[in-house]
Amino acid sequence: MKKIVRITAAALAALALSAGAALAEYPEKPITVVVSFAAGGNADIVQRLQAEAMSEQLGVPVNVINKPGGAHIPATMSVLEAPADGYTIFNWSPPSFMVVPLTRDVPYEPLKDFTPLFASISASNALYVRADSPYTTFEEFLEGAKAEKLTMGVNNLGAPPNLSAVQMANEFGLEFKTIALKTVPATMAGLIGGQVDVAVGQVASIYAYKDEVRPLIILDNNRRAFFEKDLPGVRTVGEAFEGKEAGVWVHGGLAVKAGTPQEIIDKLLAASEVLGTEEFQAKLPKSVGYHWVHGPEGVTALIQEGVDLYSPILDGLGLLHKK
Amino acid sequence: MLANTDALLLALTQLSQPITILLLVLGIVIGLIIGILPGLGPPIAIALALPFTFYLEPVPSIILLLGIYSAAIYGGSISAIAVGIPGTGAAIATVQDGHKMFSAGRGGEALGFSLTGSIFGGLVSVICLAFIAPLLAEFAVRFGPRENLAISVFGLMVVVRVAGKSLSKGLLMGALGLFLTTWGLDELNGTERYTFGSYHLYEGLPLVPFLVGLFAMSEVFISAERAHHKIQFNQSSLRVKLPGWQTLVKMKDVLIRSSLIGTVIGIIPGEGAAVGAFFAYSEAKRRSKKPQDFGTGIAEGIVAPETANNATVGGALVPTLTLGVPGSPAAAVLLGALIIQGLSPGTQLFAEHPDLMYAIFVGLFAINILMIFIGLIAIRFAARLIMVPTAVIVPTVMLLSFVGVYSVSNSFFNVGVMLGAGILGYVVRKLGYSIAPLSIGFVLGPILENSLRQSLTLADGSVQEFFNTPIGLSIYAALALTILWAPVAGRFNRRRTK
Repeated sequence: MKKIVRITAAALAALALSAGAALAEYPEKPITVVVSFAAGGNADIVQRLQAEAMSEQLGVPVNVINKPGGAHIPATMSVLEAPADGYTIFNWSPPSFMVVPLTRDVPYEPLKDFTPLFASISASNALYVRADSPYTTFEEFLEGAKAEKLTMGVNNLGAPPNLSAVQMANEFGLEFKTIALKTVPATMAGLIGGQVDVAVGQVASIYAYKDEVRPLIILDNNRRAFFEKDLPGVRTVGEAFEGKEAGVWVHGGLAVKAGTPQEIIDKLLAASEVLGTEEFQAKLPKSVGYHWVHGPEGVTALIQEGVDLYSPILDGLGLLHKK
Repeated sequence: MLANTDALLLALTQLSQPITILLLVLGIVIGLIIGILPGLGPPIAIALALPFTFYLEPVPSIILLLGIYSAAIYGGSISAIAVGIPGTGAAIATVQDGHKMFSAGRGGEALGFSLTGSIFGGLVSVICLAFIAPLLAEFAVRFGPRENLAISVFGLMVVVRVAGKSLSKGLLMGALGLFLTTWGLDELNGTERYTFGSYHLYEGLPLVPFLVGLFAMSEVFISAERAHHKIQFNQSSLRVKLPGWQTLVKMKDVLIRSSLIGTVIGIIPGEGAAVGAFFAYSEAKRRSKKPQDFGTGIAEGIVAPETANNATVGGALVPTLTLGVPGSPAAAVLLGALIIQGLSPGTQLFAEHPDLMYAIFVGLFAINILMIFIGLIAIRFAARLIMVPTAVIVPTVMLLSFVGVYSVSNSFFNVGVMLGAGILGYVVRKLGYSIAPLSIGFVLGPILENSLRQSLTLADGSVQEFFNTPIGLSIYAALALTILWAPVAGRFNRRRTK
């Protein structure tokens, strides 16, 4: 009997030791980051740059794989189906963590099934008209939009630019014929080509279409760091009209499966610290907005803000999924 | 526009760097291999190379990717001709005549025609891109929902008429293709259509797995039935033969027309190389004095689609570089590469980076020239594929398709779609229907639905507003003409001979 106890104790001790050793050694093999977009877009590009920087910190390769399709759900689920060991990390974004869970019956809950590490890539929306448009100010545009039903270009129905447009229409009592042109650049091209009268693009869209379009207002309440870099001198709705609401929530970052050991989370947080530095951000394409929030608590609060902002707007459109 | 000599010289200096030249050759070789493999097409080829461009300067990285893009589009025709399975969607239209000619013991000749056509189309589209890109951008920007609707209707009708042998069977297959694209979430109101309770189907049936299944898998199933079938050939069919000058002169109309068709289709966002190739094939057939010969293995049936699909490369770059809107799925990944380099593709790119623009024009030209030599080496091997027994080819193609389709989005669901589409393709072909119109319906379906519904919103209930599009109306008129011309002319001729 004693012998059995001794063996068991020894075995347990060995197990504890090896477990400790395993944790101490993390990461000991390549880490995979799952991106739910196809290769080549902003989200993918920034993720690849981030993976490279984190790989230097962690000392193992950080590989990016793309799993597009299925309304971002297959990519999200593939991370939840993998063990919570920090070797499969999810690149979360507005569709996977916000719009799709709010509008569809999905088999996951972002804040319950994941532990977010940080938020980095961000964007804000702005209202644009053609450079030769008769509307030179937002006030002139308001008058025009009240006199006739203008055609509004957005990328996709239910996506942040559309939600910004809807919120603006609600706040200012306007009505539009809304055309979804699939991507933000296609929306801007549609505006330039005269397919639509006015369009909601991103603040950074200005870089590609400088002489062809005119920004009227930034569809946000508060001023954020990158506004002055992208659209100097353009007001936000919050600054120009007291009491009018304009919110936009476009964020993305990394998250691990809930239940990942705290030691691993700490290591990943330490390794991602570099992504918040000026040196790293200087490496990003200038069309990328960056809003750095580090640590699970801050990011969870940020995601909750988005849910509070978009739930009523989506509900108004009849798109909110009621559980 | 070509007045800025400083920028041109700078571009030439950058292009003559040894690393750039090396990457140019490497790009063509990688592109060719990936193009030949069924399942792996230009977008995935460029995406695979994308991470390497992080460490490169803008010019070498874009040259590498353009080499891959051009060669992958061409490479698809090699497997289309030699095995009867299009290596990429772009080569679907090449299978009919290409593989027939190959099976008739004229493989070397068929491969020579496709190489010549590809180079010609590629060069013409580069010239268009270099000299009239701003003008073409004007044209691209005019293509809104109503214009896209018109061109999709046109494409569907014209292509379906020629892609199959019987009109009614072709229409039926085209409609089946359209129907299958209605699967997935409704983009306007989020309704679930034929999702069968699976979120995998939320974005509909994925394009690449579906096409690979339809063409490659069904071909695999069918050739598995006749594993002992032997193709007759002699030594001369192994010899690669480029068409002579006289043959080219005789085909100059087909070459030029197909190049222009490809370039224009490439410019229109959403319509890729496959559509361009089919347009050119159907136009060549329609204009031919012997349209009944198409599909039996004639040179025009190879040259027309191969010229057009490589011409879509230059065309697709027009909106990509001048508007920031990719003209094809492959161009979308290319756009990402430019963004990584800190560039903002859009209306500003030409003005801000003239040297990069020149490097792209000259580089693409060089790529097409070099592709002649690298292509010749590749098809010398391909011509010998005829000696490989079916029992070896079938499992190899099957394995490559599995790997290729899985790697596009790392998803087993897509492999399932490929198998399902393979069975569908097999059944359809066994019943005596053609899969080409089915694939065209599937490719054009989403554009058709989107542009129709956007046009309806724009028109807001007014018929007049719906047709308020000069470009669209001329496309509809051309469609009416193509459909009615033959019967009306026939009647007129009969009356005259009486």
